[in-house]
Amino acid sequence: MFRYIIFRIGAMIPTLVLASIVIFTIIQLPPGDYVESYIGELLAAGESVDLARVEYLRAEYGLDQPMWKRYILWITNFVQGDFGYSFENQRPVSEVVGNRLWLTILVSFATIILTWVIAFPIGIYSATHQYSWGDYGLTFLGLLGLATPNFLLALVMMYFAQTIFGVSIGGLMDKEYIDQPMSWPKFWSVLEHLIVPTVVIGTAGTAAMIRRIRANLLDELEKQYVITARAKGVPPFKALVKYPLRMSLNFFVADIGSLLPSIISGAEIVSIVLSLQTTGPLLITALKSQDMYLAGSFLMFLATLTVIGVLLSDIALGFLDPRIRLQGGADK
Amino acid sequence: MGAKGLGQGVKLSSVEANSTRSQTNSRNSNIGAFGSAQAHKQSHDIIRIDDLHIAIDLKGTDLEVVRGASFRIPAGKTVALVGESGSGKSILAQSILGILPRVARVTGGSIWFREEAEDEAIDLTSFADNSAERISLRGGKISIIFQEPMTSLSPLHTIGNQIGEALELHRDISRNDVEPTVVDMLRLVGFPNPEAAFSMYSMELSGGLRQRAMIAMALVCNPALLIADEPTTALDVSMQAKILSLLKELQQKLHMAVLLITHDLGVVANMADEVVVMYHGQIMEAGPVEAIFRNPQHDYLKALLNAVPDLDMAYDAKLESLRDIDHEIPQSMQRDADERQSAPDTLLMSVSGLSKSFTTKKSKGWFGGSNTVVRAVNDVSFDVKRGECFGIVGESGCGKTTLLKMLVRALTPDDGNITWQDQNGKTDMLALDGRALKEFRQKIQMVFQDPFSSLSPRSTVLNTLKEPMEVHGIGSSREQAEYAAELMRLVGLQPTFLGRYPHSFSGGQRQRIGIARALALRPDLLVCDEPVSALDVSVQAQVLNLLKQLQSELGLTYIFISHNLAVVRYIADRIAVMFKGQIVEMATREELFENPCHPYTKALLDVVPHADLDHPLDFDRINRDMAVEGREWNAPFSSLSDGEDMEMIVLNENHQIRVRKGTDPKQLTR
Repeated sequence: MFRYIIFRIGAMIPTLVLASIVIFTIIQLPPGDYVESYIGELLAAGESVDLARVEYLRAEYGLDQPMWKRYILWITNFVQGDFGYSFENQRPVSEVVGNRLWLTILVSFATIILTWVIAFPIGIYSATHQYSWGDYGLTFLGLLGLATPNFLLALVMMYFAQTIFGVSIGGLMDKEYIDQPMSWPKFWSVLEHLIVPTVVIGTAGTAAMIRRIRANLLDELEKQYVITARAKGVPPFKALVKYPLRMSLNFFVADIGSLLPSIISGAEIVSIVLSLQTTGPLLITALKSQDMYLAGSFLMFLATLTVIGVLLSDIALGFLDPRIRLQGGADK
Repeated sequence: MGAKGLGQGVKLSSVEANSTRSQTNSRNSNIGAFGSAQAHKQSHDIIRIDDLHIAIDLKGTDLEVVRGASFRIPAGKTVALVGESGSGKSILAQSILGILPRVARVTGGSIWFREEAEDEAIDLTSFADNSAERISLRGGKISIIFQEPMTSLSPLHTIGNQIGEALELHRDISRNDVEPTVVDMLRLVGFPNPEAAFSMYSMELSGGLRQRAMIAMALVCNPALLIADEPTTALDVSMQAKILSLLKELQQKLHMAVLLITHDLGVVANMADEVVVMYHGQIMEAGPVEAIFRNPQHDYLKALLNAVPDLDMAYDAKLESLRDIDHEIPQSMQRDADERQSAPDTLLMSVSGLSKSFTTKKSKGWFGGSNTVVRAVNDVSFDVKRGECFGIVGESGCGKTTLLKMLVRALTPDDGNITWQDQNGKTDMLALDGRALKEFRQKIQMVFQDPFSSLSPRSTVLNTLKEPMEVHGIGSSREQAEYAAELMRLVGLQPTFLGRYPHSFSGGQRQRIGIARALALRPDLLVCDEPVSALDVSVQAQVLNLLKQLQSELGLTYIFISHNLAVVRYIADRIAVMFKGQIVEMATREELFENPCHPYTKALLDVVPHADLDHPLDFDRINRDMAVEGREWNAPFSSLSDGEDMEMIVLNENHQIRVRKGTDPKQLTR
């Protein structure tokens, strides 16, 4: 196990190097750079542009260097914890992201917990009552949830909240608490505002999870070892939880890895629609305005979390399922 | 109710204590009860099944799978329930336990259960499957072992956990006593190292040990009735003999009744006191084992007795399958056949010094583990002549499947040569690659063991049969379809079945489709890997007869692998016995069965159960012989230096045997 973990951590390095190259290249692909779009904005606003200042800005940010030099500069700083400078926000990237990070994590965790709390009972019920009316009904609801785009659901809910209840559900807290220190009223306000985003972001995930729990559990339910457990006189509920449910959880553990980056990325589109102060909208604007350090560092951050998340699920799987071999390879 | 009686208030630290207790128990009705206080008690029926009907719900319509079955299971006796798959015997057993699948339900009749003679009989069908009464009986009073030791244990829980669970559910036992009791039980069922086995996972155990673990789990609560649902069908003959002997021994120690469900009449003859024959959900014949075997009444039973290949039958006798197949040889194939038959008895394939090793990595602990090299096939040499059937016998793990995979070039051997000989001269099979190899593959085709997983469930029979021709670019799509129809007729199936999917066929029909697929490329050599071991007795005879007929009519050559000596004896002309990757004895059929020379061959012959009451297995001897792990043989059959000093010597022109170098053949044929 120990050797395996060391090996896997070693294998992460080339993976991340490749990821960083891809990320950097893609960000640089569109013609122009931040300074150009900045000038465009100024011109559009009818202001004059000083060419000397443009050159100064380019040199300042290293935009006149060849691409590989810029890459080296960026990645060495990144590794040392300096994520670069956001042109648009005129602040270091770590500060820009950091401000929004805890709210993002809050929303994401609430969503994940909600997903699990709803999906597990329903998925188990659907599987154990396959083809019953309950199963059909819940399957219908689940597919509906799966098929509805999140942002549309967000818009619809916003509309009804406004017209029927007369409340604005945008944002993550009432306006008066923004940038205020934490207090009970503020905390309460955040909780109130959390409900709608959580439901909206969680719907599709919950529906997908119900389907997967149902399918995985159905695969296991008729297996011989489950019959063995029943024949042993294990009460039905225990026989369900201890054997087939435990067996069907491998997919779930494998999924935990991909949760890690999604906790940070914070449902981009929905966040924009609901104007949540999460990192999602930040990433979108950064990509749009070619704010290269913000976008690049952010994407790199997600890539790192993905790799770590996958490693964590693999290790967890190795502990949970004795059948999983740590060394692979069949020879012919 | 009676379900509470056993083990209540009695602190039991070991299984042995159980058994001594139960010997003074009134369940001990007539076995060894001579002189005991309970001797006056009458034997009673633990289970009495009365006009039982079970139906399966098929999308709204009920299909009756058990139609008015009535029989009894006397306490302490073994009742064998015999029938083909689909006859309803397994579902009957499940109804006794109350573990029917969701689609099935009891529609009529009753199952009377009475643990002790003086108990009130209770009708199990009057309780729901998940009622507290049924749950306390399951595993406590009535337990079951299944056919598939590979899948009947949970792979995620340790053996100890799973066996201990039964104990905790049904016994008033403290947590600390669970482990010693389970370890005692594991020792009783013959685990070599029960303490270590307690915390092992099922995947770390061999099939035989898994089945023993299952038996331990079923018996740990000392049930009154054990249902053994095909307990040895998935095991090798020697393992089968060991498990049967263990069951018999435990039955006597623990004084329980056994309901033995099987289709193997050899097992029945050796185990049963009473026999119930089931066919299509109905009881055809029931009675004491003597009457059933010596004087079978019903046609079905008679046919069944004739369909089993046996070691005592004449060499040229033909098995009478219950339903014979009419098949026809298409014209196009007749030509090939004539060509092949024009040169019989010439060398077709010559294998020399073939070896293959596997490295298994054992990851134990945090810092990796040691590598073990397993020599799956070790210096195997033989020749196959055109038109013959060359049989290879051995137990699982002896390397026969690895050998076979090398013969079809699915695995690359570490060492050795395979030479193919036909009208185009000699071909070094191992040197072939690329186009030449693909071209060559048409000459050798394979028939697999499991008819269920060897056909793709998503492709129709037509596509399955066309695929080999598509791969090799033979004929147009229309010609391929026509040829597929001919292939169907060749194996005795309707060409109109071509559009169907495999799930609509029975096991025997699927295996015939598998044979048709193997013949699609008109191979010279057909390699059959246990082609009948997954089939019912009656179907087995049918497929064996078909294979035999095809061989003579098409002039095919077979390499036929099986663990069943009787099957190999029925079909093969020459037989090689494999043990631990090596051929230990090779002879013509008559020679091998009349004058077996190697102790391993003799041991194998001893453990085959005969469907004949006058020829019972010698369980004492099996236990004695098998007790020695690793099987030490006397000189000259054992090696002094890890096999280096062994060689095949020629006893006579029909018989070779592996002994120590320099052994005089005369010394062996005394």
